[in-house]
Amino acid sequence: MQLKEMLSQNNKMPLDLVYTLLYLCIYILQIASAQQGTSQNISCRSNLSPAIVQAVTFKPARATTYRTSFTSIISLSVPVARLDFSCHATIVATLEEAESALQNPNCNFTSSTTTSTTTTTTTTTTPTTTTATPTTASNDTFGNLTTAASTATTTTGTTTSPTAPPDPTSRWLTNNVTIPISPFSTGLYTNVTTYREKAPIDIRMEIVVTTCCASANSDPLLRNLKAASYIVAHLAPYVCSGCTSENVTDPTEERIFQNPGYVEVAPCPCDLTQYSCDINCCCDTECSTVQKARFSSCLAGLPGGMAPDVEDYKCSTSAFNPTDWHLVTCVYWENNGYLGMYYQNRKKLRSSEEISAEVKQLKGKFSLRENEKRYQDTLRSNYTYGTIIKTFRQDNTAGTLSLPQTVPGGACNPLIPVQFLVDTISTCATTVTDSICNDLSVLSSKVYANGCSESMKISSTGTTNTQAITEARYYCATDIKDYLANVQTGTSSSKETDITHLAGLNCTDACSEQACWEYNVNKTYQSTAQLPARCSWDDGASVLGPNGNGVCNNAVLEVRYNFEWSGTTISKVTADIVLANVTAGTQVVQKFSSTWQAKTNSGVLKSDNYLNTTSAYQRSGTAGYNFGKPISSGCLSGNSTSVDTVVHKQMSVFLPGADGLCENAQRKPLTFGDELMSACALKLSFSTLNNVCDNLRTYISNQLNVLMAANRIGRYGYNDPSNSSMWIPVIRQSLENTTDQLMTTAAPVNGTFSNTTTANVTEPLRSWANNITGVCFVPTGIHLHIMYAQTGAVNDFPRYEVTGAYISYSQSNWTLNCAGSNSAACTVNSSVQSFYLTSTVRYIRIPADPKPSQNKFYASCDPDNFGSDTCERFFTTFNQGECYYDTCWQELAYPVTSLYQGESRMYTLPFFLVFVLGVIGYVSVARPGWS
Amino acid sequence: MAIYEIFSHPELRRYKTSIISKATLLMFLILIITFIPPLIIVYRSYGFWLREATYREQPNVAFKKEFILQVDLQSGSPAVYSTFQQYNQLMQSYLRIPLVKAREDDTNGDGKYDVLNLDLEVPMNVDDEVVGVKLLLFFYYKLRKFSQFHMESLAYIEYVSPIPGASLHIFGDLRLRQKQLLGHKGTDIRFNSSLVNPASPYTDSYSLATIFKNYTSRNVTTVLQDANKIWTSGRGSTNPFKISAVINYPEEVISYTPGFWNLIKWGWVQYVSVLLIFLYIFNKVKVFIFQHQLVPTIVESSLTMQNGRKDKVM
Repeated sequence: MQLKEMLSQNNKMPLDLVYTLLYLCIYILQIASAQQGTSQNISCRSNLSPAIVQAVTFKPARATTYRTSFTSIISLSVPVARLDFSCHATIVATLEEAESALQNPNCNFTSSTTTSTTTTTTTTTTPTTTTATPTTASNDTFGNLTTAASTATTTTGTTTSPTAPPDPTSRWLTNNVTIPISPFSTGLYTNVTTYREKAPIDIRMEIVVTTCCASANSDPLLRNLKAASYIVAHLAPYVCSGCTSENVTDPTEERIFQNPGYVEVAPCPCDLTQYSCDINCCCDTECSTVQKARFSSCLAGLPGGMAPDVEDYKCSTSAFNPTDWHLVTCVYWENNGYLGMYYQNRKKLRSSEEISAEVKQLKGKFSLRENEKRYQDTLRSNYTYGTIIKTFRQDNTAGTLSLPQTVPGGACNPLIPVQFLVDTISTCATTVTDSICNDLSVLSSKVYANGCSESMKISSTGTTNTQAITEARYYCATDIKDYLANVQTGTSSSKETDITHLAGLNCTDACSEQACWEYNVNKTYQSTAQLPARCSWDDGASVLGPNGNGVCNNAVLEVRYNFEWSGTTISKVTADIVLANVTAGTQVVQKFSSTWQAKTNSGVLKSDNYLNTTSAYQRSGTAGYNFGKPISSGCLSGNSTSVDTVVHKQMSVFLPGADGLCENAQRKPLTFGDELMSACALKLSFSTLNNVCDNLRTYISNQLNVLMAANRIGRYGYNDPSNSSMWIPVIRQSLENTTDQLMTTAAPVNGTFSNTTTANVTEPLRSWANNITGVCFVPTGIHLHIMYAQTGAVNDFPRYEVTGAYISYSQSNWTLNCAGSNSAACTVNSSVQSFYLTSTVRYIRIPADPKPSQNKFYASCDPDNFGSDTCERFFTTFNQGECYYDTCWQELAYPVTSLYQGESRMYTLPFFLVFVLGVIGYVSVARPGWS
Repeated sequence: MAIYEIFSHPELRRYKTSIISKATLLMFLILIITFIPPLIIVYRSYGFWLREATYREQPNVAFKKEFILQVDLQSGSPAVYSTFQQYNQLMQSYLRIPLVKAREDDTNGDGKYDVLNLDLEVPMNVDDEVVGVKLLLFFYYKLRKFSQFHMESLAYIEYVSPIPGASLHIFGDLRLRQKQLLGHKGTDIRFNSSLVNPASPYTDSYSLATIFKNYTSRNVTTVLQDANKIWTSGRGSTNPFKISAVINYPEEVISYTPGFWNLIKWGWVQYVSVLLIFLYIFNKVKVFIFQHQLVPTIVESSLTMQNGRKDKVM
């Protein structure tokens, strides 16, 4: 109790509170804690008792039985140190009474026993009464069937007069229950058996309420724990036809079957009704001859008490479709032994000891044994990739750290373990209700890693009880819009786009215009949202569980675990937990993530650490780019010698929101190899298109250029900003001038194209619509073409390098659509129409080999013309992969080439050579055809 | 003293007759029943002429970066987008612009794309509940080996769920569906026409029904086969709706009409194998008939000739 002392000394708290705290911290199932040793000032604020009361339950709470004893389970949802229950059974008259007893268990046992009538009836050895049910024989055995357990508590065991009718009622008794001591060793439940003291003698229904209350010697805090259940018992006396009291003494006794070899076990299986003739059951002795004459037929075969069907192999069989040779091979007369092998009588297994004895007997008798290797996650093992993160508690109780995750189908499982080095991100839809607004739900910050030292701590190595440094930071969100699953908001904007942004600027070289690239600041899309402000109460050590009715205060909306690791140890855990007050009934989307970061190891300097940084830095590939990794781009402007790769100077495409508007669109960074397409909308009115085409044109071209602001793209996976040879300049199409590449081709000489020359012709860009009012010729899209090539391979892993980048624009004439219902738009004070700007990224792979030289035989063939392909087939170069017609020359000796994959060449080639040798040998010896 | 064969050689025997004679008639009959029945046998035992043949080829498939997307919302109004600007212009009140990420991988390095990874992120309002997705993708499809076959083809993904969703994952194969045999040579550009006229101002031409009406009337099409669709629910209010498709371009078995010489070759192989048996049998029959002089002929043997000469000498 070092902790208790510590707490009481430091905080001068009353002893009760200390107890409360102590229990709380034991009850929290899997919680990490703040750093050991520094946890001097811990106060785990909580409200304990409601959770415990809810935690004691009967399962089932309501049930029906047809027997005189009933076992239910009383369970605790949280472990306790020790708990004794005393239980009691009472009979109530109505279900309403039972329900009210269920809601408010009555622990005052002495008063409630009055409802239980406990008169014992007389005991006679012969049947004395005939009950009201006409078809049942009386049962003579109820009298002295009190079991051993009940004798101790029988209070009124008096004998009444033999002539008086027997009392059909009886007490119900329970066994006293002690909940197991060690919470994790024997489980959190125990059985409670309620049984009737005496066997029933008539048909009756009894409602029995079993109440269990913590006994008085329990811990004071747990003393008022109680639970109740009721059963509806439908009782009937044991009925036995033709029984005498001698051969049936105890209805629970097993029946011993005679050896079926000698005694007919079921002489008449169809005789189901006692004292009555069963229809079509010819073996029923209760059927008279007259009745039998009325039967349509006797039930055939064994069910009707008849001889079994003739076997199919017998000659007398009437089976359908016998084989043709059946008559020859059938069995005419069979003289098998009549007595066969029968199963032995097996005694009922009544206890677990009997079962284990039986199992012991059978052990090793079966040849098919389970020898598979089962997955065993030993509680103590070193962390490797994918290992479950272990937690521990002061009493050496081990657990696992878990985080809710989406399982297939979209449902959320809160018990998915966090795995070593496995990054996860998931969202879970949870409806906040008052009932889950407690310490032990997914809404509680107490079930996540927190600063409570008595709770579960994250094991640093997985094998020892050394604790990883755990820091929990709580953020209180006031705006929970991002976490709501469904709210009624959102309007589509019909406002005209303000085209005065970046007015007067020319952002063609956005890198050198500060105003241009500054336009991008804070527009880049980030996958993880900004965290709100820290909670005012968050002092680094406190935990605050959710509470409140109607509004759940401090409900957890987001949990981010950030693990820092090195080797096989977790060196630090940072838990960022976002809390908010959520109205009950709201469906929130909780976000959970865990990320792993290696502890920076500044000791080893990499050769490509161009910035000489000691912090971690990311590459997009070791030598060249890896597919799917970010493309590095940046600005080289002015007289600067290094490329500025700050995020708002990089290339990106539009990432519009639900409204689609360009002004609200974010910037989506590029990744290597992923072709991206996106667009965004401008809302333009008649007056804009009618009057200020130039302004519009400037606005749009600035918007597009700012989007792809960078003028350098990195060639490799990681590039030195100050080494210009590692950066590819981005060539931009001019928006002012058109540059047409005119291709002049000299006349074919000897049937081949030769001397193709290109000439650049530059002229100002014009459109036919330039002078027409209401039509604006504007750029409508920006297209980045990134050329890359495989420039080598590292251990067979291809190395991709960016070799060129070109930005082109698509342009078109914009005008309002005035057709139909749109006609209103074409007036001066009109509404707006949408126009779209597109942004795309294309990746063009440059083939490694130069194009195979064209064969000179067929100058008249035009490769671009699909109309003729024969020339290509028969005369093109042979190093093409395609084997047209399956008649290409390289496949002439197909079975012995590497193209044939059916057998290995080690097999085909020698056999082919042997075959050739054989043919040559035969021909030269036999000389067929010539002599 | 043991006697052994030291040498042997066959002797030639010539049977001669006039043109109009029983022997000529018999020879003619035998000729007919030697050569005609094998033909009838191989023909009547099915499969004489190779009417169709197959070959395997991995097609050259390329995603055209064109698509029509319709996301059905619980509220009834859809969110649509396509790569056809005219269509977007028409549907601007329902337009929802997604971010499209496409990558085609050549996993085995044979110069042909093997798989398309397509990701669409459709931005959503907080109150949007996605209950259905219709996505039409356009592809270029080329076969090179026998018929130079080029076409524009489609893959269609449709999913409707009663539960509002957060994402849809599709895994499937783009398979060729032939109603007709392809040619064994030549260029086939019958279906290389565009299924959607991107300049059309009419919504009708972008309607999926119209597109499929034209498309299904083609004799060669592609379908997205065995698409496994996984719908997950639980979208965060500000998260986009994500569609992620992995479409494989598998190697296809293509049926085609064999060329003339291929036809003749396989016919010949079958015919000759039966003919050889007939030749053998009827050769024996002829030897028997002429040896036993069942039809009268003049026998001229090398032995008899020598004998004759001897006679003449004598």
